[in-house]
Amino acid sequence: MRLILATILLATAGSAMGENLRMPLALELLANRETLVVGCKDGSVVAIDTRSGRIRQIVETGGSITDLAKLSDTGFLATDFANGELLRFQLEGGNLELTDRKKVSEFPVSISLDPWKKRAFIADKWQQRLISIQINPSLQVRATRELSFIPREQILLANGAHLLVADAHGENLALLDAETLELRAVHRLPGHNIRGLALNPEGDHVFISHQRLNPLARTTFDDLHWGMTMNNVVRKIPVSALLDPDTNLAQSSEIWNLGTVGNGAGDPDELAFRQTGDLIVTVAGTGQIFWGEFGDSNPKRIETGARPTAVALDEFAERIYVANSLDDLISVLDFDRKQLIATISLARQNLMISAADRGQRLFFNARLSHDGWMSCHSCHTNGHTNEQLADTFGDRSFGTTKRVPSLLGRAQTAPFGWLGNKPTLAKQVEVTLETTMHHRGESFSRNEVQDLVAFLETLPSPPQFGDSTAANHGRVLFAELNCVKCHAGNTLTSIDAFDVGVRDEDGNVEFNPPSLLGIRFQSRFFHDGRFDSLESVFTVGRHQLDRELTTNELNHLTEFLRSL
Amino acid sequence: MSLRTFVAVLGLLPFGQLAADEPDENVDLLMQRVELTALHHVEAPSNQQMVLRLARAIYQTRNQAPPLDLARQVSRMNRTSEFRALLQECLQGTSDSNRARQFALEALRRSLPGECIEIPAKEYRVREQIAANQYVGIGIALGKSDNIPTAMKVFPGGPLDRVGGRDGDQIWTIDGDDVRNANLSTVVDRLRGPRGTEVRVGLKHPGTSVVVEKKLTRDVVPLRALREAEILERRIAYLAVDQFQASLTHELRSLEPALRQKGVQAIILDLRNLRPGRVHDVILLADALLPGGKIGTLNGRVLEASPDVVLKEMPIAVLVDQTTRGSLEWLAASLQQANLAIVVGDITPGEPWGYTGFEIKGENAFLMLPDQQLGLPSGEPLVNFGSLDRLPPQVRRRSRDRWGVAPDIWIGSEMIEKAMRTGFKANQVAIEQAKAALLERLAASSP
Repeated sequence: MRLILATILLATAGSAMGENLRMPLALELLANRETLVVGCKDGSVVAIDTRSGRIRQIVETGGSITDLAKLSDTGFLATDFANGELLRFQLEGGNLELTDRKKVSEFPVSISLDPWKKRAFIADKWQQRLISIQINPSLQVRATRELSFIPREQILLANGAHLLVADAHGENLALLDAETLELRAVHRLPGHNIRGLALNPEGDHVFISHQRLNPLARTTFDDLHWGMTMNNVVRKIPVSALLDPDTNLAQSSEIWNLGTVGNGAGDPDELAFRQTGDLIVTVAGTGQIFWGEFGDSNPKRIETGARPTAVALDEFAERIYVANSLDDLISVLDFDRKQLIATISLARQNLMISAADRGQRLFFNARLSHDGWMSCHSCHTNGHTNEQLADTFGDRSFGTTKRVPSLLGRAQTAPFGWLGNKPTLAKQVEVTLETTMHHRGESFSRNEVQDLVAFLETLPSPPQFGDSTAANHGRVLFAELNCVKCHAGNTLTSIDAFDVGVRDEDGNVEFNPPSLLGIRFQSRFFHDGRFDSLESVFTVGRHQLDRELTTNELNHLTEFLRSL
Repeated sequence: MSLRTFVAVLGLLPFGQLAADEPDENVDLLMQRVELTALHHVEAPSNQQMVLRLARAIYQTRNQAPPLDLARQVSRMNRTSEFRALLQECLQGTSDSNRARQFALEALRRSLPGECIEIPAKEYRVREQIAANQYVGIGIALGKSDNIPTAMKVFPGGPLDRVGGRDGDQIWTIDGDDVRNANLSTVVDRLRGPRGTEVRVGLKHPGTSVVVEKKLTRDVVPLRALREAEILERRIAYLAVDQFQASLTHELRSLEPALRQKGVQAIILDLRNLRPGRVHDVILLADALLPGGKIGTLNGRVLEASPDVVLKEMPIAVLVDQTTRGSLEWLAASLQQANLAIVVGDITPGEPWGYTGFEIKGENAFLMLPDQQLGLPSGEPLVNFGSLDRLPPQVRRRSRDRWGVAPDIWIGSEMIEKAMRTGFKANQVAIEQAKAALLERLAASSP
């Protein structure tokens, strides 16, 4: 079956990115484990008969399913990112029905349920919010909490009393009171790209899969080879430490380094515990799962498919289901044999794969880097940024760490690189593959570069918010202050490099102005991240100001920038 | 033969060793070194000072006193053409301009802070390969037995090991040519080559009468930077570094679970008798050991360690002495100032530099120059860190008022001699002292 799928994927055509891929992102087992429900990014919800491995039913929601949460053995909720809705499904007599849908937020990306299944918690990606929903008798919003970062993964702790919400890109872990959504703490995790949160069977430790980009290491072959640049880890933290607002996470946690020299494990993702205590980690970048005890220096590795990011365990039938989001494949693994025993394809019969689709597979493929330590997504998390500093050769020197830029809506912002030294996106991709990822495979070709470029061109800017009076005043001020000299046009950048009074460690003083699109979703500013708020760019850095700004002017200007 | 001995066969050139036919060429050779030094040396004298040094040395080879106003003349010069003209004029008065040039460069070299040596390009590349733990070869430590080139040690996992080569195999032929009488450097040259290339080697194992030819593909030879951990007592492991390589941090990280499984609670890390590691690799090790805070400064830039650590909560003792130089004494200072390590041994020399090789164009050689200034977290250079007041007066006298790191526990030659009289090996004294200090620290921290 996998061979057939591979053949289909190799066939090329010109459909738009992702239109015809289902992209399974979430799994739940229902009906006494006889039905596996799969939530897909293309909006379909697929019911699979686990005994036969056959698709029993497909419900097209017309949206984009990002997560599922099981309410009972016959019912579940799903988040629809495209429509901002929470969907309720019921399985009756083997038939899957969409029984309720409710607009609850704009961009729901994940859902969790309290232990009593009375409340659901929705993370809203672009609105940077956590929303509490009353489930019965009907879906109702109870409370909302703004967050200072883009949320994604979440998990309830301490018997449902607290909610831990992870940053989708950077290093933040917010602890909220589950009842009131009051913010108790924001912990800083030494790392980024937090993809998996799981409680051990005892419920006393949280396990977190994430990456750690070392700003002191370089993207040289040596550093990458010896596992110095990018670490792929599972971190074990006592729940008691997370509940303490003053905890030092590094000090209170233990680390399981995944991958080893010669065989990296780029992009660890979903986590699941067996009742025995074995931990199952999907390694999305290398298309594998790791299976072993925490800290195991030689865990079992099993190949599954392209970008495995969701897992469902059937302890009774001793099976693991893994959703491989970029080849529309469900892998079925056996507990005892610890091996793949079947695959279930979700692929449409007339599957068409575009250059952008191929580029997407490359973007999330850690095999593109030397020994599989990292993918493009490792730093440009989901096309955005991991909010970290990296010491690459993109600026023609090492020892000059630079902030990882977002790629969202940046395809038309040539030239590229902080120094503006790459005239085209293709050149930027080529240089990154060669000097950052050390991609030396024979398959590295012009086609791959073109495919990656095609994918990057599909990445939209984050949505724009706010058309407030303050923002409108700020727009006028932006022009008056001549900010438009460098941040011009629709993309709010320019083709030249400018000296704005800062210098990197190699003596470079002229930088290409970064586009300001989506700047509200950044937490650091300038090439080296020296400012940690938009306000400080002006109050501390006095960036290109020839006069003092009044408090009102500063508010208007930053409000305008946040609306972009 | 250890990896260290193997590395030690790498050749070094005297400063400016190439022969030149004309004084003009000698001037080129002199000025190229002056320019490289001016450009990269962290404590480079001015061009005038370096040219004056060269000119005076050349006069010395002429057995002549330099003109009384030489210094004044040079101090007025600032154009390369003026420097060249002066050196040309000096060299023209010598009977052997090559010898004069070599003598002058040696005088310049000795006057520069740090160890400014020249290395043939091919040896420099091997050094870099070894530093990166990416050495390409057939995987042997070469020596001679019965005056015949011999694989004294076959490195596990290397190309020769993979085809069944054994320690002690004599190398009779290379690519069909008899090399029994060849000198070692010739044999090394013929065995080396780029990764993926082939070489045929005729081997004769002692006790056998046949020479067996093996076809080998040169490849990266996996080496270990750390020697096997020695568990001194159930709670303390002694870690000796064989060669400071880029893999060291990875090796330490990989070793940690095994150490913990064996119940190890403290570490002795021996930084003696080591060639200083590349500064970058030392930074990564310091980052891995330190639980955050400042590592130190590099060319004035403050380096911050990330909060995650290897060997978490394991007390460390670091062994140092006069052989612990440059980046290694910097590492010791960094761990000491963070109260992470007890430093045991002798004072270190105080050479706060990291080195890079710079290509000498047209000469197939590299000039190693201290181009990185290593500083304490305060930004001060790594000189005279820690007080000698609590050490015996002879330490200060011997230090000539310059040292790098002052140990927490000093081991003097008298102590070593005394210990040796009671049956200890010299090397053991510091280890025993470190062990005692760590046991004390463990006892103090246990409930």
